[in-house]
Amino acid sequence: MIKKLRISVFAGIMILLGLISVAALGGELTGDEIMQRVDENQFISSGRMEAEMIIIDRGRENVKEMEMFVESDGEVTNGLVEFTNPRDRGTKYLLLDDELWMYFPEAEDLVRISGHMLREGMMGSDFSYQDALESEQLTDLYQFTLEGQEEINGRPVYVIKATAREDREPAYHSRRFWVDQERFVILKEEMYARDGRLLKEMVAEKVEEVEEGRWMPTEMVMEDKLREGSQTIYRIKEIDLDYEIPEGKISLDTLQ
Amino acid sequence: MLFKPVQKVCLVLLVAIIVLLTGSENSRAIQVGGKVELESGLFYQDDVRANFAGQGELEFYLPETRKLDTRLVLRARLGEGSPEVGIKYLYLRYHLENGHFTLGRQPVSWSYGAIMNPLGFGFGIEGLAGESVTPEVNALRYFHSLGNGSSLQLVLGFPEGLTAQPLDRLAIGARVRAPLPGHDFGLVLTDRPLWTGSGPGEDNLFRAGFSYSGDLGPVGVYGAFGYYRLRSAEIDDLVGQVGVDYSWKVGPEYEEKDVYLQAEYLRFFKEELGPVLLMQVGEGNGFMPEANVQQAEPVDIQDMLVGNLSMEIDPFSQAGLALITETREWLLALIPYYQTDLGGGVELRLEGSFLRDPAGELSGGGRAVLNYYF
Repeated sequence: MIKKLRISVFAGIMILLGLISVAALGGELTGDEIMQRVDENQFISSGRMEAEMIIIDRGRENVKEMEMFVESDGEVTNGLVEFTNPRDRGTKYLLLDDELWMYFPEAEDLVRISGHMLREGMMGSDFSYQDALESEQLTDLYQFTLEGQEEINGRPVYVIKATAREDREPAYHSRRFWVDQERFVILKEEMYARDGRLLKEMVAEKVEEVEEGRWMPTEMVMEDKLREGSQTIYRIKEIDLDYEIPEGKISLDTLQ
Repeated sequence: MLFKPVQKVCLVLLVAIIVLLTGSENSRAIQVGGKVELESGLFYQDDVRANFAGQGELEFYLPETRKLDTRLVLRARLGEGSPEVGIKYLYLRYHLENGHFTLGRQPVSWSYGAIMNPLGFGFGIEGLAGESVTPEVNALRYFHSLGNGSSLQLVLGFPEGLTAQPLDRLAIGARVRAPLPGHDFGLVLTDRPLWTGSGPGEDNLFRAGFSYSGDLGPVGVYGAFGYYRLRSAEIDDLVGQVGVDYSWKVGPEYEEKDVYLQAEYLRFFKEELGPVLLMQVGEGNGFMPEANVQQAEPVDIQDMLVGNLSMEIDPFSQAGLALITETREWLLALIPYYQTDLGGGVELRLEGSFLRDPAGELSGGGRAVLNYYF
């Protein structure tokens, strides 16, 4: 049986897409059951997206445009992001499970990204490479506690605290999620360090029904709290959740 | 300097192919992109020299078919002499089931993350002071996928022009690459005419070796070990390289900045062919800056320490310091730099250079570069 995984496209892109598994606890549902609902809603087996990432800092803006492909069999998630804005045109990031490679169009060569770089912001954004590479189920990484219920923009949400399991070392030691009770979409997320310091905050500004009965965030704002005054807006312009990715497109072989 | 005859021929052929491609069912509109660069600088060495130069690149994003790719990048440079117009890349790539053939002027990069790669097919620079130089090669290249990311590349490089050449004037190269989870292994072999600064020399440089990159805990590590031999002169040497890269954050809480360090040490164990490596860097690239190492006096080096330290100022700007030195004659180059995105596709780069030559003479300068991407 295929396990439904929390899918995140690397560099936070899939996180921005809201492909984050959440244990929404409440009512008769257990945390795991609610997480399963979220996964079912947000799981992408083969998809294509066009999006833009707007990096904002103290009134200055930088726009990155990209085309993305993601595929997952429920166990392994692979992704390809190709930037299309003039400055970065042709630059590609290739995610193969937990390995990240960067393709330079000038040299037409692939270079493996060192592990420590995964903590750094991708292309100057508030999303780290590590955000993206975390493709495991949240239930494998965290234990969940329902803290209460609130409203965000008039919509009832579950507030859920996630704490890292003792034997695991996820990118963030703990998280707090605000999950739409009706649509099982993450409307807000906070990421914390082991010492309790708030590291990042993500807010879904726009949620759309991408296909019948299936909702996803299509515009999100991420703030790296360690970089004062900085935020990154991620906006999906086009999404195809049934896209048939050509065989071999997301591979080292094709990019060499 | 206008296009050379052979370049004109290639362009005409390419236009014909484009016409055929655009008439196919899979045709898409041709797109154009590129950059314009304006540079102004002052350099002191006995006297003060100023320079102003401009250059540009124009890339045509051509229609692709399932079997055939093309790439065309033109460039022009305005400097002290007559304007130069040339072809940066112009090639055709034919796809096979497990690989492709590429014929024409193309980049050939065999990178494993090092700033200075002693085992590339050409000799480029990667990410030194935030800038890179990719070797451009007139070649027939075959890439064959061995599965799971592993690959074999075979390259036959030839001098510019379509004139007949003796076999030893051709360059040959082979690379086997084997990426494994957490590691990237490479095995290379090349034999090519030695570049003398004004063109291919009389001797051939043979190289064979292996490269590696991976992680050692939180530190990225890489390295290479190889054998160099000048075939006619019958001089050989062994070269080894180790490198690390690491990043961390500095600054007060909630105003932290990312800092990135890359450093590598390269040594010629028999102290014979170090200068050869330095002379080859940027080979064949007619658009290198005037003060490039290719045109410098030969330096008797046995090792090189190359480093780059950079810090993110904000999401749009970074500052850094690059270093190149060696321990025999203490040749030294220090390059502080700052680059920032001004918005609207415009980038500004400020760069200094402080040089110490083998005689102990000091020189230095600075330049400002404005880039516009479209």
